[in-house]
Amino acid sequence: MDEPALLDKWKTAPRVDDIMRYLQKRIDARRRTGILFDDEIRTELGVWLTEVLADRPADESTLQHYLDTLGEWRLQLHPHLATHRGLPGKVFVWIKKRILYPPLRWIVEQVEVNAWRQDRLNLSLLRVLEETVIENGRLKARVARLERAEADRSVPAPDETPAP
Amino acid sequence: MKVAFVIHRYAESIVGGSEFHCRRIAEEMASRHDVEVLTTTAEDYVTWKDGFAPGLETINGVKVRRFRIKARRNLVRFKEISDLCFYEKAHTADDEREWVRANGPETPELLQFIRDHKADYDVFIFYSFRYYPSYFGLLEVAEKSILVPTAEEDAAVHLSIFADYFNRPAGALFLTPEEQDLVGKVAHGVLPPSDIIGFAVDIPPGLDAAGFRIRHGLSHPFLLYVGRIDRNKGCDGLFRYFLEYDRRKTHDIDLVLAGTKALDIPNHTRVKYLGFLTDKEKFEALQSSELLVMPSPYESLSIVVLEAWAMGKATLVNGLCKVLRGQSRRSNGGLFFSNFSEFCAGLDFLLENREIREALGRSGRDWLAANFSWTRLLDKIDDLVGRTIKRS
Repeated sequence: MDEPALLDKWKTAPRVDDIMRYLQKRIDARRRTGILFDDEIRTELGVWLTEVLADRPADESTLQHYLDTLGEWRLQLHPHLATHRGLPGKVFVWIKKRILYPPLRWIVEQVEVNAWRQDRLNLSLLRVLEETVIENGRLKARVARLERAEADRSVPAPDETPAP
Repeated sequence: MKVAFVIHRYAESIVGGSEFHCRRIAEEMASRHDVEVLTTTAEDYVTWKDGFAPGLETINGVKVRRFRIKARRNLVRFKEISDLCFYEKAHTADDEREWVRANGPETPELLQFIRDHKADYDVFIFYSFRYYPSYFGLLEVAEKSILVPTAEEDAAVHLSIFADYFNRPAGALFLTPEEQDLVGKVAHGVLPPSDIIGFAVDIPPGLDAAGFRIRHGLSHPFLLYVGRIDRNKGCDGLFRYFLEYDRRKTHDIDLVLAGTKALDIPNHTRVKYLGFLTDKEKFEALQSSELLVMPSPYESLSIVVLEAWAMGKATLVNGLCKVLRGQSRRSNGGLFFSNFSEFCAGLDFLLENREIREALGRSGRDWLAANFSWTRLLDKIDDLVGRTIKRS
């Protein structure tokens, strides 16, 4: 259906999914540059990114697993106040918690939103990177299989070996 | 049937959120059953500061029994325990229960009353899983309880203590399919029998949109936001998007905001703040607007979006919120955005195509009328109670 006919149809029976697809096409049309000019690749990329960036439990990421083995890496805004020094240590912790912690907390709250934005971006980049690595691994395995199959085909079967 | 609603705050002045949902359902249910509300004396939702006297009173025909809170919410302590439970892997179930206690409003007298009068009620309907009265109260009377979790996709729902808690009530009432899905995913095992009730909207009589515009000096077409003006509601993002949209001068449109202010509002000729509106004025604002915008990323149900559809107005909502996205798609009542490009494209489309915008509003209204009436909603609750609670 062409655009005027669609718009006419929606005046009586609007379909949100159809309108959103129509708007997405309009947005994409404005963005067309380089490789993204290819409609198929652009659509694939959109679907792929949506899937990759969809919320997943943190422990599902392989890269995070490897990062965790090197120590804590997630954003940590909560200062860990503990001591192994007995009573004097407890006094210091008390001073830190009751006197130093409140102004520190205030400063943290001022940067918290930006910190979480950066954390989300880091997590998203990790997921994209991980999926790219997985995809690359799959492609390599597929290419290797195809190359083996190609090599097998080019070697003549024993009964087809020409007589000397 | 004698029904007790248990909720952290209850007052006629609260016109949004789970408290409003609870009050309206209690008021409507009072026409069928003997309804009582067990709540606290808290008024302020941040500190739980007292605003009401303890004891018995009647609000719109419903008996309300208020219990003293033990202490106001200690915000420093709450932040500390939140940091521990949400960001430290090495925390215990006791820490999480301590989080619920710190979240408050802590009312041991209310828990004692539930313990002592368990036999006096046929069913207890608990609102909002994250608050002290519902969490600890439900555990006292699990076999005759219905939970209305009002869960959103935030960190609290993933705390480990709630995975078991969600399986404890005899039944559960959800506001949307997305909420049911979320709770189903975090709960251990199979959820108890449940239903999705949503909400029914009542439009006050005698609305005067023209008078409202004159009273508030609104001479331009406007995009309306109603609700708490808060970063958690996505308002900072809305301000950034709207000001950038306005800089491009595509359409002559203002942004009008109504609700309690918890965030600085940009000082800009196109952005107007009306303050807190009465229920009637809220509907007049909706009637006067071109469309409603809802930028909130976390909602278990947006009542104001339903109210916009009831007024035949299209909506533009945050598509990153599964509930808002799902509601928009099911009703065909409005569009959604996940980024600035989609915000601009959606807004341009709605402003350039008046007839489609109106058709979306009508579609939302028809969907609301077909799915959410008080009779239907109360029948669903009665049916769930009948299926799940053994009555003496």
